[in-house]
Amino acid sequence: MTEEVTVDAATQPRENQGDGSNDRRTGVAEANKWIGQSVTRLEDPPLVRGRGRFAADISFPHQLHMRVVRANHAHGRIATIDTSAARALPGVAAIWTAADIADVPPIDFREGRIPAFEPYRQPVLATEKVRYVGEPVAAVFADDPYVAEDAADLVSIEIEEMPILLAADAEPVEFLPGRSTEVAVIRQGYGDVDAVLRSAPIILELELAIGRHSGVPLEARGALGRYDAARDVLELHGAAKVPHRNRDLLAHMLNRPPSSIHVHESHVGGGFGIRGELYPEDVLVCLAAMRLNRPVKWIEDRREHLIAANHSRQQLHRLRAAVDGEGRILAIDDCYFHDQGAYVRTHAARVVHMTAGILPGPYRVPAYRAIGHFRLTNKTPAATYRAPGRYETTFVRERLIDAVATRLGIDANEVRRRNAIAANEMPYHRPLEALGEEIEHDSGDYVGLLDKLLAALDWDKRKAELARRRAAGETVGAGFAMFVEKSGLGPADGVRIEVDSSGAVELITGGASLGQGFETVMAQVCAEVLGVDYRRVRVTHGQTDRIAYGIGAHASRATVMTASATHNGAVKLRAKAIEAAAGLMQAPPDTLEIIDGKVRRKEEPAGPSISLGEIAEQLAPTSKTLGGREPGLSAEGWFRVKHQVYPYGMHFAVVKVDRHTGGVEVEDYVIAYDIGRAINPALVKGQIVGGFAQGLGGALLEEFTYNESGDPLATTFADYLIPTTRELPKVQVILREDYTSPLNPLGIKGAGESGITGVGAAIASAIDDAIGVPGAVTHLPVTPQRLKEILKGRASPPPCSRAAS
Amino acid sequence: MALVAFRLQDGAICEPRVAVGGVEAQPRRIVAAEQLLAGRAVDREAFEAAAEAVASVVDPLEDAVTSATYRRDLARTVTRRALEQAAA
Repeated sequence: MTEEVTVDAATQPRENQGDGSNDRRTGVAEANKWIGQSVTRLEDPPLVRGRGRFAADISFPHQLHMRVVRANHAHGRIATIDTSAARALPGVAAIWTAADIADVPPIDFREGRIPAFEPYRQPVLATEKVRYVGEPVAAVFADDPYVAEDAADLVSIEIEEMPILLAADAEPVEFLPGRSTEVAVIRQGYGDVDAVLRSAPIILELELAIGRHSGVPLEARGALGRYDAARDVLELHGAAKVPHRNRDLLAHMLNRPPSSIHVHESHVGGGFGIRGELYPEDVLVCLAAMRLNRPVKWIEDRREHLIAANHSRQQLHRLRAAVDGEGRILAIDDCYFHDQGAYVRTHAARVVHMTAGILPGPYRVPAYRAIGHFRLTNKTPAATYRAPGRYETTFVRERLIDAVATRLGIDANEVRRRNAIAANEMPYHRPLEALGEEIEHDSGDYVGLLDKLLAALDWDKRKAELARRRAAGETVGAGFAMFVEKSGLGPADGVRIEVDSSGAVELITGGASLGQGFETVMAQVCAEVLGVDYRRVRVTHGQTDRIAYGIGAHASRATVMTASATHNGAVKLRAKAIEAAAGLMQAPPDTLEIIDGKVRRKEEPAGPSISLGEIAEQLAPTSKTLGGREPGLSAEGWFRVKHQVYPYGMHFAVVKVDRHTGGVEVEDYVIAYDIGRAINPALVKGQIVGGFAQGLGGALLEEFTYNESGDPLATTFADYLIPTTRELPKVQVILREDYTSPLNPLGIKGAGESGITGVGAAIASAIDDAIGVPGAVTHLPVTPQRLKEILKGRASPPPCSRAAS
Repeated sequence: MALVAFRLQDGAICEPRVAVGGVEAQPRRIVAAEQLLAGRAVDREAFEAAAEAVASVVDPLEDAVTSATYRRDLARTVTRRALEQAAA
């Protein structure tokens, strides 16, 4: 695979945004310019030398190994659990079932209590019933991982089978006495949808499905619990994504003060939203470490990962849209079924709720109603996976755009032009919510980006070339998708920056790194604002004993939130250093600058200077020159926001369909994205291309399938197909910095999810175009078998359209 | 997948062998297709007839994910393509 990246801002003046902030970098000395540079990653030296430390690399003396005994039935009452044969195996220290940890509550929700959902939480070990294949029923602790696994095989569980439910659109059944498997019906909307539907000239109806799939990180999960009785500190190692949130959940569940639990993140081999949530296994290793008085290590195998870690995405949408004669959408009425799997996990209703809030995306939709049926089934519980709610709704919404275009006989991009929110309507408020915040698109020019993409593609020429190839018998076609992302989830982030006597800078954050380049990007921002080389900045993350507060890395928030806090902290630290230096150098502060870690006179670059390390010594608590200052060359920086930022983009796909096998080859893929400001363009590109690869999996390959008994069928990589380098086309990234966000000091918008959001939508559209059947694709992933059925005309009928009577 | 082999003698297909795998529980030779090819010239018609023979005699596996119909369709396609490759 080859990749190209184009960053246009370097060669073109930034467009006027009317906020007087078009170049915040004016005045940054050349030597201090780190923001916007594709510098190499600080993280890489240990990784490329095999010195990384992932969860499985961590061990503690005298540790026990845990193996989880999992349910083999999708639904049933637990009659008996016989652990006697397993207990008799030499080396087994303990075997727990739910009865052994009856004092531990089910796993709580990450963002606080939601009493209505509490009965649906997952117990750490199954009580009374099992509800999906893979559910933890017992935990074996042994001296050796192989003994633990052998002993787990000897645990015999007798299940009285119960009827299973596998479809979220089927009639809900009883979950517990008095409680249905429909956990909630989520409603969002505005306007009089019924009136518009009654009077509109055109009504379109679509039924669209997104398959069950999820993130599959290279490193499966792992957790190590250690209890230090000498200090009364419980440690959890192997954390990711949200260490502070998990500390707080553990504190509540285990009834300990949060400050007595230290959660530690080490290297993380990919997260994608699913790794790092608090799972039963995390709670088990912590409990066992305290109760068995030995460290406990658990490393997940791949089969476990595919049946036990969060699934995602599975939704069925039944949508009606009212459209006028020019293709303007007048109303959307979406009823959807969200397949949550067996329990409500840490995310509660996050995905099903965001789906309703984000579906209208870049378009003006004057009246809107979304009704989401949040339902349980006897499958692995679901939660967020990279671009949760957006991958799904972009597929649904852009299928609608194609249906409007087909119905009116106009180009889909013309439909986008007629419906897209205009640049002069920003900020655009919509009375819907995403992640608990009212949606307000902060800035952007959606049609402008479409035009830039079309120009970069030389679209008229390409379109003619595709038509020529089709006329010659080739099954090729192209498709577009427009989307709005959301990023930078608040409400707050903080950092502490400390300079030691050598001038080395430590930036301590409540952020987290999943391998995305967090350390490098934070160091670049800190370095530029402070005036040091970015390689002098050590970035600490994911350590709850180093900083009390943190929200971690998810929701494309890290660069927006943590980098903004870093910016604010570095501004304060710089001022403190300059102020101290001014006294020592007997010069007014505004005549001084910091270049490469040294304070000097602006007018006299080659003259005397004082290093940050020397200033740190002068500011030491014991220093005679400290005066009345707070000791230490250090500062805290905080950043708070009310609204997330809404970056936006376009995806473009060219596919070639094999009519005989139903296979799809992606010939070309282009992603145009306005990131506001790229701190490190090469890393942004990596995020976008990597996201694309995962999106392609969800569009064509990846699906967690089940047989009629509820047995998972995709439990190895032979059945759960992820894209390899062979399936990936050349990806061109057109990275724009047209509209910086007015919501943070650096104008940043997030990037982590933009590469995946539009893939299902663009590929579906391109397949329609290639086979000449508008609306043919109604179900992701478009597996070869599904496409072959479409080609034979035997698939479910394409979305129907009818004129209103 | 399909595996085919044949020799050409004076433009005619000689000693053809046709086998498919991943369709039934075990890979196997499809003698009916071989008989159709023997003695024929290398042409599209012969290949399509052989591919059709494969599709009609196999008894494909069926599971919750993949239908017998799809496996049969694929058996036809991969046999024809293997023959075309062998002749190229």
